[in-house]
Amino acid sequence: MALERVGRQVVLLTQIVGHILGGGVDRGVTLTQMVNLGFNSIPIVLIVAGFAGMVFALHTTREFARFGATALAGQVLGIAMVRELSPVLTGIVMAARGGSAIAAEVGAMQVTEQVDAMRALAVDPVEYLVVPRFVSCTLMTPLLTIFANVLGLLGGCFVAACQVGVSGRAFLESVNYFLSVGDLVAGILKALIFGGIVALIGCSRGFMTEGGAAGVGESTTGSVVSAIITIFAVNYFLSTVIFHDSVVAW
Amino acid sequence: MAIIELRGVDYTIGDARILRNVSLKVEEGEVLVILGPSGSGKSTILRLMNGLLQPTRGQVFNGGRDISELSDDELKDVRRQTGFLFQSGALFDSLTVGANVGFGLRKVANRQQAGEIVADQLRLVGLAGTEEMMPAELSGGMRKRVALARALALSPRIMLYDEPTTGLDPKTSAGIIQLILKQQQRGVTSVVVTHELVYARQVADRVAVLLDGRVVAQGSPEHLLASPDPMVQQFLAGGWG
Repeated sequence: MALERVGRQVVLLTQIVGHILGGGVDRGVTLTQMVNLGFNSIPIVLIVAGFAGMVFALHTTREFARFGATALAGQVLGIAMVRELSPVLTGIVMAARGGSAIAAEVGAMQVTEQVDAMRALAVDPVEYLVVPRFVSCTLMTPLLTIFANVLGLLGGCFVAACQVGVSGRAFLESVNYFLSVGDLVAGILKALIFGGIVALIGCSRGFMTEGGAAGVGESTTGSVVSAIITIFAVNYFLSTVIFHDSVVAW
Repeated sequence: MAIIELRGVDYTIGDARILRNVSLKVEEGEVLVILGPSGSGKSTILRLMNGLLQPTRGQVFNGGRDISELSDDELKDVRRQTGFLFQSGALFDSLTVGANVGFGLRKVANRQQAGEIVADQLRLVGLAGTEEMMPAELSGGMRKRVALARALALSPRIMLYDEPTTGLDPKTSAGIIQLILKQQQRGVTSVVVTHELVYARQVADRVAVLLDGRVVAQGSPEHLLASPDPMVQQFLAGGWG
């Protein structure tokens, strides 16, 4: 069953790429999905990233303060947020909010024959339903990740300054000094891939939905769980490849 | 000339044999009614006729072409020529009535043309001016009529009706029957799947009886009424005539 799912997802990805390369992207539907999946997720991403940065800074800054190395706090948070936390947390938010919505919507359409009705009207459901959601997720997840970077670092800076007594300016200078453009690009690249994973799994689970409302519920839950697990696994391998020779300057 | 033909078609899902060696011809311009109890495989036949399903064995021809050998684009052409009224209506619940009816026109008509076709089709089914309504605001009968308008918007040569009157009150059912007859007068070939004998008799040029996935009899309504086959008589005794 799991192998069948992976096989279907590979086939679906091939079809998506074919439509995108062939120029078969419905701009109107894509814009709507960018608002639904991306723009409407901004508050959640900001809240999650802000608190993640704050709690991370709470622990690291206190420890660094014990050894008189508070100048390093910004560096560690910056690298953690930009390389790992922001893309992964944004991916999880997208899986929980966007992926579940995609699986539920496509699944409900599948069990109520709306997908068949689309085919019967000579409209390809992959072109109309999947491609706009895939494009939206892959474009909006990196954008949301950039917002997450900013809020995470500001949250960390706030805690470092207010609770640990580290100068906010010194904190941000430390971030700026040690963080490279390559780190930002790597984080955004990861987010792009995570967005694609969320849409692909959501849509394929939706198309595989059977059995009415209960089936829609299973697909929705399944898509979120699968997407989150896949994001964590893919993140590990991406980090291994991207950062295999990176040296953190202490 | 047969515009649709099934030759020795089997359709199975897992171990369940839904259709067994079904052979059927639909002549151009006729109304074929496929009669049978629930679960006999009637809807499966309709889905095979426009390529929504592929047969496990046998061949399905639509417009003289074997559906299993068509490319994606050719299959889309076949589907534009073959309207399908789903039993549930299958309206896109996130789109307005107008967008539903015009959905199939997205790539074959510009916005103005599509708007005119949508208005014409809604007028035809007695729902003029409902373009901005949402499917959730419609009654069951209205939903079915919108679905019919959507299927007819592409001016198909063939119409496939899946239980068009099921779940509707007698007045709405009569309205749907009138719309089917109107299409017949325009020369549209129709295949109507139903288990409602009374309505079947009103529209059928020819009837095929499907029991347990097999076509056990076919012919004119009068021919079927006189059939000596005990299975057919047992089924027809449910209300035919």
